[in-house]
Amino acid sequence: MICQKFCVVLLHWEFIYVITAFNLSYPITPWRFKLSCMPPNSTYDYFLLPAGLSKNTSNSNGRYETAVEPKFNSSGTLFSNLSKTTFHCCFRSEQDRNCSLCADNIEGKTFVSTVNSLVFQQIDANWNIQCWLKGDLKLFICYVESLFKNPFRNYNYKVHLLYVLPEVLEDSPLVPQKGSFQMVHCNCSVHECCECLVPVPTAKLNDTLLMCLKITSGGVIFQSPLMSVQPINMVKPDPPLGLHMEITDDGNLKISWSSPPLVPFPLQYQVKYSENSTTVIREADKIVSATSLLVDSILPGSSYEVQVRGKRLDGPGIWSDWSTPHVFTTQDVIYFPPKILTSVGSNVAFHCIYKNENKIVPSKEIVWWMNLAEKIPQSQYDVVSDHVSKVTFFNLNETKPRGKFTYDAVYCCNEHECHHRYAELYVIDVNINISCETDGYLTKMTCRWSTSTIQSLAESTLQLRYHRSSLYCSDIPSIHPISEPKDCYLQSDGFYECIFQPIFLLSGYTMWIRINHSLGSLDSPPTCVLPDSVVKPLPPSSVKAEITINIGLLKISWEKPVFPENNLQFQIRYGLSGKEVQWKMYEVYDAKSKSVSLPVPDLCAVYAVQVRCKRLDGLGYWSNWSNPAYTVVMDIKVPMRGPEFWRIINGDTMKKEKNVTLLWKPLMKNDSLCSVQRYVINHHTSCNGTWSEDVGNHTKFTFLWTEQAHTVTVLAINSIGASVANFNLTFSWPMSKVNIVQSLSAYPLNSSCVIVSWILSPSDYKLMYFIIEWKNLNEDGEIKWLRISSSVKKYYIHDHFIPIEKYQFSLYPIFMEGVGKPKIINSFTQDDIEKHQSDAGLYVIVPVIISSSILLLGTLLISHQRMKKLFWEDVPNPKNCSWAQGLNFQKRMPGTKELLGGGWLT
Amino acid sequence: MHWRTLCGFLWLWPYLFYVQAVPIQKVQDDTKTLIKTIVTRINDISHTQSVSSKQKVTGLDFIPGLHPILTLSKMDQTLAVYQQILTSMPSRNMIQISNDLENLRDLLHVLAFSKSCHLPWASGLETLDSLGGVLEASGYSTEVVALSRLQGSLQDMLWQLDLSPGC
Repeated sequence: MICQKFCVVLLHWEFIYVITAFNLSYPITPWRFKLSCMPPNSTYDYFLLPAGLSKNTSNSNGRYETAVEPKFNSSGTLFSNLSKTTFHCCFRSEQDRNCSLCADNIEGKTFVSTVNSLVFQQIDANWNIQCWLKGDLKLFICYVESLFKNPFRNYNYKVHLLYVLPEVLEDSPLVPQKGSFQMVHCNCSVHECCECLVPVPTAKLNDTLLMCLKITSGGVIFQSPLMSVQPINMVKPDPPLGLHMEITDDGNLKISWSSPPLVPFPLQYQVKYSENSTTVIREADKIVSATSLLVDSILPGSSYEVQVRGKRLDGPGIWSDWSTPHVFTTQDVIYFPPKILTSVGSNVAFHCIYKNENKIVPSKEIVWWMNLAEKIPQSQYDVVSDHVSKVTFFNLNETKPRGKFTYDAVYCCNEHECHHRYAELYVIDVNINISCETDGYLTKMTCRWSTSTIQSLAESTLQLRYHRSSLYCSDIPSIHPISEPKDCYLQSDGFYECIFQPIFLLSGYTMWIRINHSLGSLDSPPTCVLPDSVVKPLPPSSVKAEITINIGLLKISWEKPVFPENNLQFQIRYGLSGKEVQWKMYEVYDAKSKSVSLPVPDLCAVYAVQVRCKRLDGLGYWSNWSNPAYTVVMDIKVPMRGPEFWRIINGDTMKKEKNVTLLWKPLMKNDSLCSVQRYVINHHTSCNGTWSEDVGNHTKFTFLWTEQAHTVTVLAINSIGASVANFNLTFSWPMSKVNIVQSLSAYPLNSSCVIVSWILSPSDYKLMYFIIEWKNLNEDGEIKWLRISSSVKKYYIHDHFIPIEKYQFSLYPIFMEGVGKPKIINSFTQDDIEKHQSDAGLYVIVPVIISSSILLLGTLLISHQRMKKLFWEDVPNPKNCSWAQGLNFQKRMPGTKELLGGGWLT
Repeated sequence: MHWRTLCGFLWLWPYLFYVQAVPIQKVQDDTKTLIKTIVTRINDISHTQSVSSKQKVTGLDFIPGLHPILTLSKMDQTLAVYQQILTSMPSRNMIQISNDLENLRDLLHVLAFSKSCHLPWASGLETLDSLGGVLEASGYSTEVVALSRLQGSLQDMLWQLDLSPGC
């Protein structure tokens, strides 16, 4: 019961203290400070000894001290029999040894505690305190660390933080009430380092946070003076992230990093780095507001160690912790830039610093090689500084891949040796042709481009970008700084296709291809396209083709497409319809033309016709060909002529009445133009006058020839009318006796051709033509005939002839007055063959007989001589000839053995 | 006034940069061809052909009527209103015609400049707030009447262009 009352009194006193101290709270400007508690008669040096402060520090001036009544409560019970000592707790900055705030002289000894001084010597009464607002602006942290660390202590050590977050101090001058303080328990480690976390709402960041620390150490409770802080002024961001170092294209060392996440305000950064090379050791410390820092005069073969920390750029704040150290070591040879991506025709330069055997090579001694194969001429070198050499390449050609290496290796060398490291040069031909086409409705422009012309660059992406001008294209298209990307899709033919729809017909679309790569980006030469000038119209419609009646021309008509409204030219192609049409072209430049008539050789054939169009001013493309139109074969004109005809006369030639059968060959389309509906025979005799007979489609007609002269004409009739030019044949008794053909001969050339020739005698009659007639006499085949011009003296008849058969050839002279007397030769074919064969035998046999006779005569003479020899040689053989027995032929004819040889004598 | 002239010149500068090399005759030809193209486009929209010209449609007074358009400035103003109306009708045909009108207005400005005229950039109707409501309630009527009147206006402009209209 007594204990409870005591505690109530204690709390009461505590809050009296808080209330009285409120208006004199310790403003935490430094974020790191000390809290020290000591008896009033002691010097701070005594207490700060563990922290190593010197003893000659002057005593506190007592402005901001608080009287603390430490309570020795080792077992949770206050021991009142201990000697009582009043302790003063105050704040000091790290640099200042004097107290900044004490409370005991403000309201007197408001907080008095008695403690055994021996006990007090065993406990800690000095603390380092760090307070800050985390970078995410949500948590206020106070870190309490005891200055006197005794690992063998065995008493309880607890820290609590009491805080209140009233409205802005100026608006609320009243002190917070007793119950408005909240208490957080601080997490302490075994090393007596405690972390107190106070959540701060975002809306309260600019308000004043009042707080005090209550530290229980060795059973004694120490309470700090009241502290006031505006959290927003105590922000301590997290350390920067992603520390990175690289050598820039211009040879500097670029240190870059990224700001910590969730920092809602800009930061400033402090960068400290050290350079350690064989020749120089230097350290530097720089403050920048950007997230990168350039360090110049870097050296090859050096290591750079860098750390960065951040702090709020505007307004008060606390430096973050240093980032983890990052080390970057430069190579013995430094190329800058190390890689270049460029386009054909451009100029680029590489720089190099070369360290060889711990010595930097003077730039004057540096030579450059390409691909370890060719030395780059010295005229392309430049001395930038004592150690930096530069080589420039002009008007570059496209890099030719060497195996898997798609770049040129550029080496920086020292007279006769090159470091194995090299710079990479990628030269790409970026001449990508972009072609566009506006559709026939003038609503869509399709652009196509292919990458086949450029070397593929690994991990590169291509993008079409464009800029639209209001009207027209400039003469020299250029890449506009403001451009838009356009989605393009790869087609099966390897082209990319991009579609603009809807379009601005008269706006210039300047387009180029951007090649994005980690080494940089390249743009193809820009091209400007006016949609109106790349129109591919729809093909002409309503295309019709016909052969005009009576005129006989191929007439083609069409309708122009709706768009474009510009004047159009047309192209027509036509040809005989078939599998493979041999097209003929015709062009029409009259924009108003809707039809054209063309002469064609064959009026009775089916023609296929197509039409296409294009702007008359030449801009744009030809349309597709229209669907083909076909002519219909129909009668165009009256037949060009009547059929050629001949006759067969049957019956007794001596009779006056004869049956005459007319024969004719059907008219071909070229002559009939284009069909024959029927034939009509016109008769004319002196007695009966003229009459006609329709024989329909027949090609044979028989009539009775009774009169002295009978003239017939065969007419061909089609839907237009009757043939105008017709053949006449007059059958006349007197004329049939007129003989002008003196001779006729026929020679077979081969089985398919016979040459017929004839000789004429002079005549007063007008010869119109000949009819030659032939037939196989061994067969009852039909008579074949041909009409031959009167000027011809010989004629090649093409037919199937059988050489061993007999043929009859007749040649009829046809006069105006009638048919003359024919010359007929029979079976000439066999006779001629025999005659030719006998003639040929004569020429062969005579020499054979003569030579045979000579041979025979010679043979007889030789035989005669031989017989004489045989006779005389055979006689002396006594075995064969009785009369020779007993005679010595050897004696009489010495040497006979050699002369006669032969075995039968030996 | 001088400021307006200067602003107008600055506004025209991008056009002139590109157009300076284009003969004015080509600009005139392109203007006429573009007008014909728009007229044909409207003809091709099937539902505009079947509308009777005898029947008058009321309540669409904000669409310019078929009054003679004698000057380039009036032409531009009229086209600006039509462009504003067509832009409010989100269909592919309307957007294409609206684009054509923009090109046509650009051409008119170049023609005006060739005649040393300052053509202020017309911004259409300022009081077209109710257009959205009208379109929602009677989109068909608005489209048919607007296209029909635009076609008439364009044909009138085509005729006027041959007469060399003033500023």
